[in-house]
Amino acid sequence: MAKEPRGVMHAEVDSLHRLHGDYYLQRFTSPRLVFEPGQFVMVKPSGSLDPFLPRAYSILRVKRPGRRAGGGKTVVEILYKVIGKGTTALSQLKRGDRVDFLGPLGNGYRVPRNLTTTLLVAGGIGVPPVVALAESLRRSRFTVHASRKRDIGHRRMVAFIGGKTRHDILCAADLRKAGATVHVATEDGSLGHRGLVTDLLDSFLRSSVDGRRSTIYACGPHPMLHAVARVAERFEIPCQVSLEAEMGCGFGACMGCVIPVQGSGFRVQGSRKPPAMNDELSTMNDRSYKLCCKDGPVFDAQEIAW
Amino acid sequence: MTSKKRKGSGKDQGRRRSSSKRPNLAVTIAGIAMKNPVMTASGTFGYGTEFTRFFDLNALGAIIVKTVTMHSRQGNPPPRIVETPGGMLNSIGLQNVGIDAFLRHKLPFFRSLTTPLLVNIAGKSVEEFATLAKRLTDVEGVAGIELNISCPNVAGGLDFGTDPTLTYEVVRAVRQATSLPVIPKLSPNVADITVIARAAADAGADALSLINTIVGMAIDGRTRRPKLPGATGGLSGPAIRPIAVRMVWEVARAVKLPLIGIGGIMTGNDAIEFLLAGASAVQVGTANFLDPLASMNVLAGVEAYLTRHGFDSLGSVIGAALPREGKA
Repeated sequence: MAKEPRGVMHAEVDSLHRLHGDYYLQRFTSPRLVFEPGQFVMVKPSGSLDPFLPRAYSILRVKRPGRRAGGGKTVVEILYKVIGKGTTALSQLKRGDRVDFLGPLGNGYRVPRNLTTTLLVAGGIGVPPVVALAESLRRSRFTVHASRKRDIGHRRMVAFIGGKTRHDILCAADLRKAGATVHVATEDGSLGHRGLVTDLLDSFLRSSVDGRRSTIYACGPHPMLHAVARVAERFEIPCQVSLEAEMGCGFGACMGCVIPVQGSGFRVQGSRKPPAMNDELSTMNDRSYKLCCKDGPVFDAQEIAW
Repeated sequence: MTSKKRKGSGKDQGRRRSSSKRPNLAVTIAGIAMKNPVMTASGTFGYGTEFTRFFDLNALGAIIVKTVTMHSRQGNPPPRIVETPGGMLNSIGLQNVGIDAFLRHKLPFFRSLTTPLLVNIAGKSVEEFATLAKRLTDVEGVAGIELNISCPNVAGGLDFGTDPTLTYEVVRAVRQATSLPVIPKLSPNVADITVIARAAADAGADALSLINTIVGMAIDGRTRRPKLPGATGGLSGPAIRPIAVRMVWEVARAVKLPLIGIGGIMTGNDAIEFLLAGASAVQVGTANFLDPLASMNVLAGVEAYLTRHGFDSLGSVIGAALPREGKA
C-alpha cells in the first residue's frame, strides 16, 4: 500500500535533463514516498503565485536511498513536455530550488494475479505511468513470495509506444530494460511502424494466442485511449486507461477535474459534444461524472463515456 | 459603531497579555461556539472526508460543506477550472448529492467531530430555501445554515444575492422556517454590498459571510473562445482579497451582525487583515486546493500574530481597523 501524504511537502530539484525537443526528465529529492504505478504528484515552484495552481505529474520512478547511501534522500522522477505556464516554470528551476510537492495521489493500475500478458500502450508524454508499471512488474518478479512465483513467472510484457515523430517516442530503452518487447509507431514513419500505435496493438492481438488472458494498461492522449478502448472491446480484453484532466487540487476537494462516465442515461457514443450547461437549479441531470484525481486517474476503459 | 457591540467578538476585549499563556482563540458567532475563527469555505472542502487523511478536522473552528440542493446535481461540463493571475475561475455548477443523500450519507461523519458543521444551501425559489432549511432543523450535527444566495455558475444563482428585496424575502423565509443560526453568504457582484447586507440583517440573519466569488472570464487566444464552456466563472484566490477586505470593512460599518470574512486568505496575516476589517471569523477557501493543510497554516499564523503582539484574545483584533464611533 502506498503511504499517505500528510500535506504539501517541500521537495528540491535534484536535476533536470532535457531529453529532446520540449521533453524534460526532472528529479526531486523529497521525503520518503511510496507509490503505485499510475499515481501522480501535484507540483509547483514554492513561494510563487504564478503559476497559481499546482500541476499533476504522473510519477515515473522513485529511487529510495540505498543502504550504502545511509540517510540519503528519496528521489522522485517525473517526465513532462513543456506546454503551458506550469511546465515552463518547472523547466526553469535550478538544482536546489524548492517546489511544493503533494502526493502520491489517485489510484494506480490494478494488476490481477493470474495475468499472463501485460500489454502496455503509451502515446507521447503518456509514457511515465506505463514505464512505472513495467518496472514495478519487473521488480515483483524478484521480490514476490515463492507461492506466487508460478503466476508471475509466466508474465510477458509487450509495449506499444506511439508518437507523431521519433522525437515523441520516449523511454523505449527503459521498457526494454524492464523486460518488455517494444513496438514503436510514429505518424510520420520516422521510427518504427508508420501509423498509429493502435494499428500495432490490433495486429498483435490478431496474431496472438493468449490475448484472452491479457490486460491492457494505457496512457496517452484522449483520442488514442479511446481507440485503445475500442480495440480492447473488440478483443474482449480488460483495459485500464490513465486519464488526464485539468486539476485544481488533486485530491477531490475542488471537483474541477470531472470525467464523463457511463451512467444513468448518459450517452455520447460517437460524439464528443459536451453536455449542455445546467439551465436551472432544479435540473435533474442525466449525466454522470467521476473525479479524475480521486476516482482515477486510472479507470476501466468500459466505465468512460468516450 | 464599534466592534464592541458585535456579538461575534472574543471574550476579552483586548488587554495586553502579561503572562506567557497561549492566546484564547475562541469565538462565538450567531450562538455557534467555535474553538478558533478559522473555518473552511463551502465548495473548497468537499464533504470533509477528502481532508481527513491530511489532518484532524477537530482542529478547525467550523466546517462548511459544499452547497446542498434539493436534488442531486452533476454540475457543469468540463473544463470547470481556469487558472488566472493570483487566482482561479471556477464553474463547478453546484455539483452535489442532494439533501436526501447528504443527510443519509454525508452528515453522519460530521457527528463524530467536535467541530461544528454549517450546511450551505441553495434553492431555486424562496420556498425551496425554506424547505431545505426545515430539513436541516433539529438534525443532530447541524450547527447552522449558510445561504448560498451568490452562486455565479447556475442560472438564477445570483438573483437572491443581488436584489435587496429578494435577499430580504429569502432570508425572512429561512428565518421563519428554522431555529438554526442563519448566515447568508453575500455576493460581491453588486454596486453596493451594504444595501444587500442591510436587507439580510433586517430579515433576521444571525451573521453574514462575505464574499462569494466575483464573476470573471478568460478567453483562449488560440481557440478564440471563452476558456470555460459557460463563458463566465467565479474568480477566487488572493487576486480578490483587497476587494473582499474592503467589502467586509464597508459591511462592518453598516450592520451590527458578526461577519465571516472570505476571499483569498492564504496565510495567518491574510486572516488577520479580515479580522481587523471587522470580521469575527474567516473562511479559508481556494487555499485548500493548493495545500490541504492551508487552514491549519492560517490558524497557526493567527495565533502567532496574537502572541507576537501580546494579545490575549481576538477581541483586540476584531474591527480594530474600523474608524472609531462618530468618525465613520
